Amino acid sequence: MGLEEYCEFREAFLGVAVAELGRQRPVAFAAHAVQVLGAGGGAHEGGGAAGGGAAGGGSWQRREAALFAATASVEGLLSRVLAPPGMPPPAAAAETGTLLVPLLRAALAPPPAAASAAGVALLLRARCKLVTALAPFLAAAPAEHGLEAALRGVLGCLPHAAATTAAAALESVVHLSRRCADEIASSEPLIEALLDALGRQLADPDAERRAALISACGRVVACSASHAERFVAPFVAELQRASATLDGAADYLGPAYESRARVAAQLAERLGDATAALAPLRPLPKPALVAVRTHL
Amino acid sequence: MWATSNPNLHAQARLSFELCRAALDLEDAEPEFAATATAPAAAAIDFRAASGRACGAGARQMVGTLLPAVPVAALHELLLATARAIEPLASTAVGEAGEPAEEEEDEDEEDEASGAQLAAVGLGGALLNKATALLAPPGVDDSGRPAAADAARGALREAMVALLQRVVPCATHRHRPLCEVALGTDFWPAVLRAVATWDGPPRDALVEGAAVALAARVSFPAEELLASWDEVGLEEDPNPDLKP
Repeated sequence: MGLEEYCEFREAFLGVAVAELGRQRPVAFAAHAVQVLGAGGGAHEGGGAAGGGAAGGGSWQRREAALFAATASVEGLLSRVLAPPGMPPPAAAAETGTLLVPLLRAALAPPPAAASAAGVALLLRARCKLVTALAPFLAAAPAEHGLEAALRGVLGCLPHAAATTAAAALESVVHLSRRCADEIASSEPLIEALLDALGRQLADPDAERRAALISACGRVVACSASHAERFVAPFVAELQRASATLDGAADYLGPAYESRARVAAQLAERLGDATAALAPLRPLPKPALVAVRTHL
Repeated sequence: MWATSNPNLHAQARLSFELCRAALDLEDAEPEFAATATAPAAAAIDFRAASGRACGAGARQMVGTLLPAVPVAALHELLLATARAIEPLASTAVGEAGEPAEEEEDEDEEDEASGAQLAAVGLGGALLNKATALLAPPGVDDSGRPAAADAARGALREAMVALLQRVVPCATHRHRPLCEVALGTDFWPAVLRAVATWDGPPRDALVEGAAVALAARVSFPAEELLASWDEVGLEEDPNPDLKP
């Protein structure tokens, strides 16, 4: 048994059952999570349905489980909160929607100090999964629903030492970049926070992870021409540096094929990063694209 | 039946359950519809009504399926026997401390006794899935009056409810293979559709009880067991910025 195996079992079997029951009791699991995490005091109607009574705190396992169940059932809840395009909001949408803000706030609160390192990692993973699931809700009313706090909450998990937490954070950022690109791009602090996080993660040795984050940032920058040059500049600089190193390698590395191959591989990685950065920028207006091209 | 130590009996039981389930998989199921414009208790229609049969005014909704070609007596016995076989497992679904916890797999997990248990739970879930409409309340005729007493339907419903009460705890059982087999039969969507026709309190008790059990079952195990898992990096100190 390992963490990955358990998580797969939980999502494929228990999560599906939670989602089914969540369609019958849309607010039950979310209200339970708010109650367990101590953010809402169990004030919402129906809060005891999945709760078993106790409110506030509990072990990190209990908190994490409450977040997992809320995430697994949130699709049914969102269908009662968000209106399909061109349609009026569903009946009682406002009342039901009031539960999601405290749920998100509770998930974004720092993990309890008493939690172990593993507990913190798994609580933060659960936070990222919830933010991913709530992306349509965040996009619907970014300011009221707390998009900024949610994005900052997952950006902070990107460099987490536990691979499962870092992966959940990346998935969340990628998802938010798809659902909330315009909303993030229209907020100067948010897009700055995103680009700062990108700057810190460019040293990630995993090329696939790096490319996913770069593309996510590119999708957001494509909605904000004024940030295009800042976004592209580090990739161009890295590309030029790698290219210069390869040029020099012919002089000072001599015939050592392995050394030159290593330098060439670095250049290939930089090219990959630059491609991941430039590809999402196609929707930018022509003057912005021209400005970007001058850097190349 | 699990008290015996005779492996041959377990092997026979397992084979019987697996054969029954395989036969069920081949059996045609027939949808049963209920009027939804009337009160839920009066919404179900006569036992084994033909698919698409009119059942009063208002919208109609499928409440589940039936097994029209399985003889009533055989189905009744099958439901009772499966429920009996599952009963000991249902009572062990929750740990002594009241919290379902991920149970470490026993070394003899694959022995015949546990194989028979898994097969019984799989058959139970399959029966719930294929004959869910039996869970719907007693039928009414087209005028909305109670249908003529149908003892067979009543007995089948009782047996079906008993089976449901035993399969549901297995679906949150702390022994993961049991939980997987129960949930792998995907009985919840069909059961919830049928249970939606029940009166409030029994329906709420089932749904809320299952929700509470699931909310507890999805938790990670205690630190000691978690530490024995082979995850690299989980025990490393996280980013100091993230630790309060």
